[in-house]
Amino acid sequence: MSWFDDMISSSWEFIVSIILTVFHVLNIPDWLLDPVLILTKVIILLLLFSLDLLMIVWYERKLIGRFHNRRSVTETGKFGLLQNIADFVKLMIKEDIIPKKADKFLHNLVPALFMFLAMVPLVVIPFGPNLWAANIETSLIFVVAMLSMTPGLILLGGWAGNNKFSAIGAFRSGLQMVAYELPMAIAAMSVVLLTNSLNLVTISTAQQRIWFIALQPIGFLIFLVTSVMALERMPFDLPEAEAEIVAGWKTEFGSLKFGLFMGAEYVHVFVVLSLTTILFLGGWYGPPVIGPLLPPVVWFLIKVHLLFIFYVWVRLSYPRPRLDQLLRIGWRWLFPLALLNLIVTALLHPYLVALI
Amino acid sequence: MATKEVLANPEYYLTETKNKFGDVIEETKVVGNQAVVYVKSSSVAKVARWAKEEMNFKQPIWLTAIDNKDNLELVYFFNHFGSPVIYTIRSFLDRDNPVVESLTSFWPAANWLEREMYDMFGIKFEGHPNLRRLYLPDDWEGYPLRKDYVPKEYPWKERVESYYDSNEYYKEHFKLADNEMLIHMGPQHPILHGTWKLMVRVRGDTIVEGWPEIGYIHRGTEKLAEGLRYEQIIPLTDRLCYVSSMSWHTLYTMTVEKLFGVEPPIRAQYIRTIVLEMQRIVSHIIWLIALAADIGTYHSLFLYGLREREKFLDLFEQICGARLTYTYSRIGGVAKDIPDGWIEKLKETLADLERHMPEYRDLMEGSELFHMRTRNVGTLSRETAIEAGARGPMLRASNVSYDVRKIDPYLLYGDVDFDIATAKDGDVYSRYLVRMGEVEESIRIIQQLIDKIPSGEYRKKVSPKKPVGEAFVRTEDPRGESAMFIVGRGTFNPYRLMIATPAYMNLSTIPYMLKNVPFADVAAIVASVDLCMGEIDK
Repeated sequence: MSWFDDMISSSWEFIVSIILTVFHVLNIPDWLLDPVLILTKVIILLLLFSLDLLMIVWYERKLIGRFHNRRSVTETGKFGLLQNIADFVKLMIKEDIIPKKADKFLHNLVPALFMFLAMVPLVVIPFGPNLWAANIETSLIFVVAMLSMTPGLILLGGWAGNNKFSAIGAFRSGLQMVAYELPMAIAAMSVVLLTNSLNLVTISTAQQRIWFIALQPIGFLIFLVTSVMALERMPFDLPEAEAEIVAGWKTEFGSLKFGLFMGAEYVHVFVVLSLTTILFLGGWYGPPVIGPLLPPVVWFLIKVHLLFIFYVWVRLSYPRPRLDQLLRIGWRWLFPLALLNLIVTALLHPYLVALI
Repeated sequence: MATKEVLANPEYYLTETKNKFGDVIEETKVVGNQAVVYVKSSSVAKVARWAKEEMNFKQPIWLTAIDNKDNLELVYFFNHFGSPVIYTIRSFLDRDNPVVESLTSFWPAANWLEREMYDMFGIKFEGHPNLRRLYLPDDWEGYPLRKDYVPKEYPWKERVESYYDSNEYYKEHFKLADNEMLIHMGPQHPILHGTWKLMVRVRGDTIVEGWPEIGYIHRGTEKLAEGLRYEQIIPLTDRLCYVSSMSWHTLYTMTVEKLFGVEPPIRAQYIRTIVLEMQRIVSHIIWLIALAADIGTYHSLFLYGLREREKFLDLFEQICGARLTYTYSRIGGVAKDIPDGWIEKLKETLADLERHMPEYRDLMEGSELFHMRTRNVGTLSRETAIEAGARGPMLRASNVSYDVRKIDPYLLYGDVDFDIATAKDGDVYSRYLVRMGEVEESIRIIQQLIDKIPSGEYRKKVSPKKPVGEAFVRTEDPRGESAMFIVGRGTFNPYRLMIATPAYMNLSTIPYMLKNVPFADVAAIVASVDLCMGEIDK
């Protein structure tokens, strides 16, 4: 796939040369060059990523429709492709209602912050060889940390609405974090044990010969389950359980604020699925034999999207458990299992490392 | 011990009553399978307690009153789980100061019934724990079902404006502790399936108590009916339940036929039995998909269920032109004959449903999470279910094998072979099992009848009548034992129409289930009741 790498690197060189020219012409000091380059990368990645996001939202709707035995969106654009844009425009032109007794400052702040926090981990995700915005040594910790900050924001947002249903949803979100966070981190830890690295790029490149799903099947399953919990997607959407608490912590947010939450949710989904892909499904490496047929980044995206289709399937098949049952799943089953998996990984470490 | 034949004979109960309470009994008579006892108003509770404890009458079917202009007549109907006899206690009350002893101390199921009578007739029940108006606002003037009631404008606007300051009222009334919170779920809320309000008092994530407040869409069907002719009321009874309107207007026409002394042709009876069972299937499908949606499956079963229901609605549309409120039954038969090819299509639809049932069962029962959400949730033990007045599938889920179709057969249910679906645990899962079982039994019933529909007329011409008399008919609605009682006093319109609605009694069992349960179980519990606000706020 050299032509693809060439294309990417030459276009990147082109952009860099433009930036350098601008720097030269305007006499901008050199120490600003690195931040500007990273920012440019981030913006380009975000633009490409938004396109992918639109696709994700569109085909989730289509898939749900097919699972439901109906047609889903059909009218706006070909196959309803423009429906999401129409929805976004609709959300933008709606009136922004802030409840009388709400905490106005938090009510305005939380949606923006939520989107921001969801976007930040994208910076360190390696989509392909040399296709990342920043490569920091502890990027895995960085992503997990950013992910676990969202329940805090949800608590703030739910509290800001001054609504009992919002508050209940927010507290549920906080409790849900207790259920998933440890098993999730420990499952990721066993991969770290294999690669001796917290760097997502190193973890990706370590899977050139064998994907970690083969060495860590239990870890993968735990990570998959806990990631659904972390994303608060059905069936683990307790904080916004429609039946009992209306829309949970989102109840009081409308118009663009709601749109931001919806968007941020899909960004979250993308980040977590990317993380699953990198940790267990071989990152940007394709499967053996047919691997070289497609560029690495395409393989990466295919894996993310297949995982997403699996998410949609799960979403449509199961009822949601209760809070106490969720905590029981997390603490009584997933946590000991993850620990056991870590111990076994540590014991078998020399043999497993030999396979890599 | 009395034998079954003796138990089925109303005379037996009358003799026993006369032997026990000689002096307070004013009159006794047998009307069909009703054992009617006229009791002095001071002894109503005594006789009712005796009927419950000694004679095994298990539940009050309904309580109603008739305004006789010079006095109020109180009428209780009680059912028996082992006999078709309906024990009826009637008593005359002073119109200016109607006071009678409450039955709630030994019959908790009478709670809402007595509140309703207080609301509509102003009858005061001594010893009732919470004698407030049931449907109307607390400061409403007058008693609507009395004959001399003159409607007055109610100050809705001031009432609505002052409503938001009423939190203090609740605090004062329900004495919240510091760590407790009162949540108004409704009148608009996703789980409620209609417009009512569920009040829950929570401590942390645990519901300490919960109780329903109803009356938001009360239309006064009983009062409206008093101003309409018998045949004009049929569409009105249709609106009692938007999920099973077929069963309601059929019940109404059956009651009027009994009052008129008209026997519908046998073909009409076949058709009615078939459409009633179809309606039961449709109603249970709606219940199933609502449960699935409420406990959090993302509407996948919802749409599969609607697909199934759609075929039945098409069939209904073919016979009566409507898809929701059918008005198909008429006094003396049915509105139209079944069209050509309808039976073949029905057979096909039933075969489809039978083929799909395992699939639906698998989507629900096949998932461990479904068991987690429904097992041991909202449990009503056998005793509590009977005490609280649970009806139909709710009762059968608590291991009570009671079905009006079996015990007091109407239409053609005496001729067909079917079983009563019961389950043992009384939780949400049992209710699910019972309703799924009933769908299968309904399929069986229809399949037995479908090839035997005799030819002949489907409707008898019945000219308008001015009947004098009373008629009481009870049927097994998809939600439980439903009944209607019509009093005719020689006019073209009924003097009094009583509608006994099972969903109302099932809703009144909610406080028994919402005690020390996690907050999230509200969804499963409320969904398991199978509510239909149209018939509750009748």
